[in-house]
Amino acid sequence: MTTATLSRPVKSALLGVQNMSILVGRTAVAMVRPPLYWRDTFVQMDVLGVQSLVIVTLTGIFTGMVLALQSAVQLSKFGASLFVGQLVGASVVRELGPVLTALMVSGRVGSGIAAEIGSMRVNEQIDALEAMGTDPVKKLVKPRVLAGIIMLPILTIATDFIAIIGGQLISWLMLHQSSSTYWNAVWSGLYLSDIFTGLAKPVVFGFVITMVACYRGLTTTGGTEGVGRSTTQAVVLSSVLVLATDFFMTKLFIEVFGH
Amino acid sequence: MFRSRRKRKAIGHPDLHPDPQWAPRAVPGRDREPDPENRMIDLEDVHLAFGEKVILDGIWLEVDRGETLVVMGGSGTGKSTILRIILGLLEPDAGRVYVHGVNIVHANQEVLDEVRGQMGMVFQGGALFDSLTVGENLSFRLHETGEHSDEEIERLVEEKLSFVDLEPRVKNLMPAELSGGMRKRVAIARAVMGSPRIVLYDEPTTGLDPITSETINELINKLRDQQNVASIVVTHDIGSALTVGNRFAMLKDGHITFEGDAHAVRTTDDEYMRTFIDARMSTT
Repeated sequence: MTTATLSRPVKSALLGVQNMSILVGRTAVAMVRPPLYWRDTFVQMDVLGVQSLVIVTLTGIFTGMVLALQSAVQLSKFGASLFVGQLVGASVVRELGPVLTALMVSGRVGSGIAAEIGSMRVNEQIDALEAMGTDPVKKLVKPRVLAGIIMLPILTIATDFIAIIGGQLISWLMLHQSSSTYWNAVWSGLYLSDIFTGLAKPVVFGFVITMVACYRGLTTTGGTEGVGRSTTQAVVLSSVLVLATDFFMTKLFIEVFGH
Repeated sequence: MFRSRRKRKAIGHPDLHPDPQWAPRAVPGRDREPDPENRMIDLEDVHLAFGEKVILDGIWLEVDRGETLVVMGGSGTGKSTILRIILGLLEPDAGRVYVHGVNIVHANQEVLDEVRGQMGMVFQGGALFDSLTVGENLSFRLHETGEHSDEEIERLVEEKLSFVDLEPRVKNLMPAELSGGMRKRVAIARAVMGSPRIVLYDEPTTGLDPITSETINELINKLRDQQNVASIVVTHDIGSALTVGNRFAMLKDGHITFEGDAHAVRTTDDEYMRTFIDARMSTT
């Protein structure tokens, strides 16, 4: 392999990082500058948040049930089935709730954003926006990123709550635990820092998912085939970035809070 | 209730004044002196390349008020690129682009927005916003500026629809419900919504039947004659070009190889121009 063939993908990757950084910078500036596009932001909050409620509810309930089921089987062997609630609560609030919600939103909303903006790009609608003196970053990217930052923590709270309820259902059916026993165990396993980290993560995930999807949409080329490619890339890249970001944030929080 | 109101840059912004170094070039083949008041667009020695591929290699073009310049050329020669440069969507590698004397090369976003406010663009496919109704598409620019009342916008939407011979009820339709000809007419109505002084057309008659093409040509002429706008039409439809154009330019290999009026087009000895016209005439 020659130096030239090696350098082309590296250059392309670096260019992508540079363009993405520019978009992040422009979005950050757009956040504090008018126009605010509140109406577009509320529409996106509905699309990203309210319309994702069913899917995160289903994700939450089954995750909580599976988690309780697995832990009930294992913990019962040691006579520690009282700790099922503790395990479910801590796992869901710290890790599974934020990450699974982000992955579901990435699949449902990230793909939608990339496809919508990508179609607008290949049909010259983005050019039309600019030709009419409207900044696409302010009009298209800002409302979506804002909606992601605001709605993902709310969806995560919903997922956490539903997952814990799912766990309660299993502990009641299998272990015949009372509601108060289960919830006491849940609370005893949670620290205030867990609530903080469990809500800080989705803010970053919401930003990552919407930024990646908008970037992929805005850089779409190659007609309808290109739109399909951008959509796939948006979901794959945002999902990987969510998991990578989760690792680094967890590491940081462990350093800060000590657990 | 939640409509966004945008504070636009004041017209008196210093960057919006004509460049002191700008002196409009004389139009080739025209006797009278260039008038800075009437000169709307000046492209001076514009160069652009994408990587190794040279698209524009020293382009000089000018358009006056009330004039329609038709830019012709084969596919992929950079005709649409010229429109994108004039709109500020693409930055040339070298050269100057004056819109009513204001150099938009390296201009900041506020200046570009203000200059774009004086221009309307009809994109090849219409580029109507799919998620908005025809009425919302037309009123988009006015809502963005926030300078008009709802009643005024409603009246202007119906006025522009009437201008392009569409009934008021069309404003409630979605773009997907329109025929190709209607889409083009709505695109023209949207382009002239802010009463621009310059209108740019990218292949306005491509893909349309001859009767609808004629309707679009008539609209382009009506707009020029009634509103005295400066227009640039990019097309390879010779019939349409001769119907709407006052002046013609042929783009080949990054250069303007021919420039002249309709008479010059018909009587030119330029070999490429002749071949282009004959080939196009034989296919229509």
